[in-house]
Amino acid sequence: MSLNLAERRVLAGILFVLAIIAINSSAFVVDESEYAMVLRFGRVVSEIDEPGLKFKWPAPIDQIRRFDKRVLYQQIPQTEFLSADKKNVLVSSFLTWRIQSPRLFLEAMSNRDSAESRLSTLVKSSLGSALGNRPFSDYIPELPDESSPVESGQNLLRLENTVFEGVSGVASADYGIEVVSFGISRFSFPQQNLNAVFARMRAERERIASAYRSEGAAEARKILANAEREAREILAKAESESEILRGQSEAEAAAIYSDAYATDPEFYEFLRKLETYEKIIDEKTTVIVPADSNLLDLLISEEP
Amino acid sequence: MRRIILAFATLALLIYAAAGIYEVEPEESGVAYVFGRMVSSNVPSGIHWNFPPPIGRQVTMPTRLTQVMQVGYGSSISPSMSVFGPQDLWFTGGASIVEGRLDIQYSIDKLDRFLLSHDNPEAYMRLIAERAVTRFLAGLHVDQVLTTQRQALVRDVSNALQSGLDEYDMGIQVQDASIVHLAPPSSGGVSDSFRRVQTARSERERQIENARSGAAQVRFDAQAEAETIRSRSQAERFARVERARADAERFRALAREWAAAPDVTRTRLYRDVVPDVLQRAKLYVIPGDSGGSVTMEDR
Repeated sequence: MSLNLAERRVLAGILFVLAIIAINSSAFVVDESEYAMVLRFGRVVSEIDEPGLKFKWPAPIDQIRRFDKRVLYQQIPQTEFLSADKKNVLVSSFLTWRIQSPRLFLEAMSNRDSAESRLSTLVKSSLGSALGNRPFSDYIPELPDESSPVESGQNLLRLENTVFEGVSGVASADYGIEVVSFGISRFSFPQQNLNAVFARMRAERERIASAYRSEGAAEARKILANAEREAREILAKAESESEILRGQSEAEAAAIYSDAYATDPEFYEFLRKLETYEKIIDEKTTVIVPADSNLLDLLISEEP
Repeated sequence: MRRIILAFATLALLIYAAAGIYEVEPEESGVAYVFGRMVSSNVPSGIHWNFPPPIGRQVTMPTRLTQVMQVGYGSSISPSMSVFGPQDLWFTGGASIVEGRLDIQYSIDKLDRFLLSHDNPEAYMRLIAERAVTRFLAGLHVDQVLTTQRQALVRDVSNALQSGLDEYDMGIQVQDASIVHLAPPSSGGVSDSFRRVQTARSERERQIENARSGAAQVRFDAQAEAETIRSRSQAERFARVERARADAERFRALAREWAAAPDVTRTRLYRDVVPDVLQRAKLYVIPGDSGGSVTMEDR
């Protein structure tokens, strides 16, 4: 078969275009962060773990499926569980996992969405049974003391480990998934129970407030009573001191008097008599004086 | 003809090659891939070249920039409250609840790990942070949480976060965590009752303070009163002794007179006293001699 120049050029052009199409549909790039599976008529013929430029038969003979090689996170929506002490608890949790065996994963799960829903179901059932075994107060102590942070931390860790092991076993054997971690991100209560918690917190605060108020009044009374007692003591002391002083001064005065009177007892007697008259004679006293008494003389005469 | 084709081919190649020039901004660093393989894990800022697509590609991200992740902000992570619940409420020990929001400052320190370790490192990081907050608050009393343990919470969360990130080498460096809001729940009137406790506490302080100043006043008054009593009794003592001295002096003077002239003095003293005394009394004078003495009788 001989072709002229023009025909040859057209043929070369067609071949070139065909080659481009062939390369385009058979060469593919596998990224650092992914696995690629080559499926020939729906059957896995190769798993590609290494990044780079790879080739396959053009579609529709060979097809590729890509899966993320990285750790995938999954948030488990808040779910209501019943604890051993009959509390309705809402738990939000999360799971991280990665595809361990792409072939098994493809067969069992086919894609990430169905894996997530399967894992979510597993977590919920495992979490439900783990929570149902223990009272909620294991995780949130009712009366926290010094050891509570450590205890509740350990209980939480145990709970997470239980769920992790429950999920991990099934996922690894049946789904080709390696569960990397499981964590509880949050506890909550349903709204009506939340309202009960709020009511209890309010009551607790009211109690504390009224304790403060009565404490203040009692403390104030105590302080004032103490001060008054001290004041009475101070006054009593001052009064007893002044009583002692008065006694001393009486004694001193008495000594002075008796010193003086001792110099002339007879005269003292006389003066005392006069003083006595002064004291005992008043308006109610009747004095009967004989006419010849010298008393009268004393009263009448100008000069003694 | 051949030349024209060659020129076109060269030009196309040049244009293609020029498309591989890319820039990494000052706050960024980058990674470069060729056929999906990471050929450069830390491309510094500046102008660089990599094979253009479809052979090569590159990713640049701000790594020298501190970014902020918010924990406990209702809407930012969960699209619906009904699925994930109120995001800012946390249990504390004693089954109480606090409202808390935290900001976490972080930066990407290894871009290759950041891109290759997890599908969504930041979302995962938020969950680790939430887990750390839940865990830390679970064992503490609400009063501790709101007062003494705030700094410890921040420390604990950033430590837990960093070790969680390091465990999987996620290429994120936590710089700092800070509490944006940590308070009693604003719903259900709880924060009002917390405020009432504050008021009651300061009321108690006020009452005690008042009592103290009242007590000080009472004590001060008592001291003053005691001082008055003491000085009064000093004065009385002085007066008493002085009076005694004066009396004694007078007595001595009179006694001297008496010794010098007994009769005169006697009469004079009588005269000084007796008329005054008798003026007060009823006086009867009866005739006869009944001796020289005066008889008096108190009725």
